[in-house]
Amino acid sequence: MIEVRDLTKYYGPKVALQGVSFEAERGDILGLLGPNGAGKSTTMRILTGYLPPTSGTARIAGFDVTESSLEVRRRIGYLPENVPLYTDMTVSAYLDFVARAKAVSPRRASVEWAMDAARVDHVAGTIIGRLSKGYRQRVGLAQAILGDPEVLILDEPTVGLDPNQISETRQLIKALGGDRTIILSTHILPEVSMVCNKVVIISRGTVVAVDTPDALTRRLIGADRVAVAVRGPAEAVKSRLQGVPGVLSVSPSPTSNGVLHFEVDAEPGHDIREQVAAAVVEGGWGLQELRSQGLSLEEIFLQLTTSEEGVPVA
Amino acid sequence: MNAVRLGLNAVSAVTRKELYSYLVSPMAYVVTAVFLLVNGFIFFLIIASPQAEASLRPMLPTTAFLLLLIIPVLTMRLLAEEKSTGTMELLMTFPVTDSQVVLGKFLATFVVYLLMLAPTLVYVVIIRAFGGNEWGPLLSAYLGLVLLGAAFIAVGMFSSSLARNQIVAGVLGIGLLLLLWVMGAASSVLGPRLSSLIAYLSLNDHFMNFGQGVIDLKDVVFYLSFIAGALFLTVRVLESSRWRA
Repeated sequence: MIEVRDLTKYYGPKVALQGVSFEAERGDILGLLGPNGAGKSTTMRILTGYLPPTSGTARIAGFDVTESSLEVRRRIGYLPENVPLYTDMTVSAYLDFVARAKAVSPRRASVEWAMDAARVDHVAGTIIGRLSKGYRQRVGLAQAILGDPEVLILDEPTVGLDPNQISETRQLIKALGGDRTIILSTHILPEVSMVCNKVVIISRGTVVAVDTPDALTRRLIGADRVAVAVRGPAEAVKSRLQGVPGVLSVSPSPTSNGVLHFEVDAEPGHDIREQVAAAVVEGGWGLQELRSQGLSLEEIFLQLTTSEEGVPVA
Repeated sequence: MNAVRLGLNAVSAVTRKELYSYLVSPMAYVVTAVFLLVNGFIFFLIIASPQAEASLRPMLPTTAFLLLLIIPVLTMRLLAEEKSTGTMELLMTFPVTDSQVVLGKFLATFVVYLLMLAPTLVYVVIIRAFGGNEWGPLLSAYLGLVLLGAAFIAVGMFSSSLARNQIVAGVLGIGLLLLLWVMGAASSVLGPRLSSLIAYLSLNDHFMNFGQGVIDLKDVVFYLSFIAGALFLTVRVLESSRWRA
């Protein structure tokens, strides 16, 4: 449903994104996790067709976001980070405008449904400028889901909300999943594990990890991942690496020029680099590269919000 | 056919939204009140003078100049505000093209302008009561005002697309219009060929013909192409602002 390939974006000489690639299938709730300024918003703006990428491609439902922008825009609902709304309009007049602009039909019923789903039906006649931050966020969500688009792109959907609202919003997003594909960005680790089934971590404009929330949390919380490049027989190397004490799993990465690449996950607190090196040398194979990947994630982990107080579990 | 209908729906969605915003903000009312007050006062001065003639012609230059000053106030918000509050980002992810946005906003302002102009039709009643019995000059004067106002709106929108700050957009709009207004005067200093081109671009000179009761197709074409040109430039500025970001 969403295919991002090698996306690069420069703002003048400044790099915002560098070779970002990821995919989401229909029904996925994908979380873009990263510290502030990592490139989450830029990625989303490119996906919505608002910003053109410097290079690389992004496709939504098979349509290129720059070449078939209108086709893409007919299929997405977007909630920008700071929720820009027309503050002089009432909630219902605003949603009526959005429904007309998106050519949603039947218009009335769709607006009613969106107001209902985002729980803004009781403030339908209120001027948006007089609403609290939490309600504005809901109105923003209502306009995004209006017309029931196939893809929802939500930039920091829970930022600035109080704990109860955060929990409600997460429940709503989960409920909206199902057939729809949702991309949401966040810098809150628990949010990802509560809502998403797939996580893409970006930091300084590059993807540093793609994983499921559970595996990711394990890695972030201390499990070490080591990347090894070995010249030798694939099966024998793999089984030998699995035999190293403390190793949880060994997953092969693409092979290049006859060199095998593995990602080795270890139990938390075990630095297995020396044992891995010894194991490869004992096998009589050529050790080409050995590096810990945990460190870079750890760095990012420090910048993420890892715990929340008072937010009910969604 | 379906694409045309969808396109018109998108334009009308933007027009309706913009009319709504004019309706709920005090700006349009204040501008209309100022226009009617000042214009009415000028009308009174002209009609009450001893050598008064029963026609709109003597007051048209003043009305036009008044419009030059107040229409940019009406248009300054249109795009600058969307950019400064960030609503432009969301608008541009709706299945609405940049030209539909520009056209929709232009039409909304044009409607507001027509509503602002409508009460001045009492002048026509008064002029006829004072013995002015020719319809031709009155009709041509109003056609001229409608075209001139639309051209001002288009320039105002263009200014609004260039700025992020509404006040800057307003001042820029008035400045551009003043420049186009006085262009005719430049013809005396420039060479004959350049001066005829510059004079052609003068919004003022084309308007004067309407005041004389002459509807020249050349003038109508001038205003229509001027409006189309200014709106086209506005669309280009919107497009390029994305690529530069």
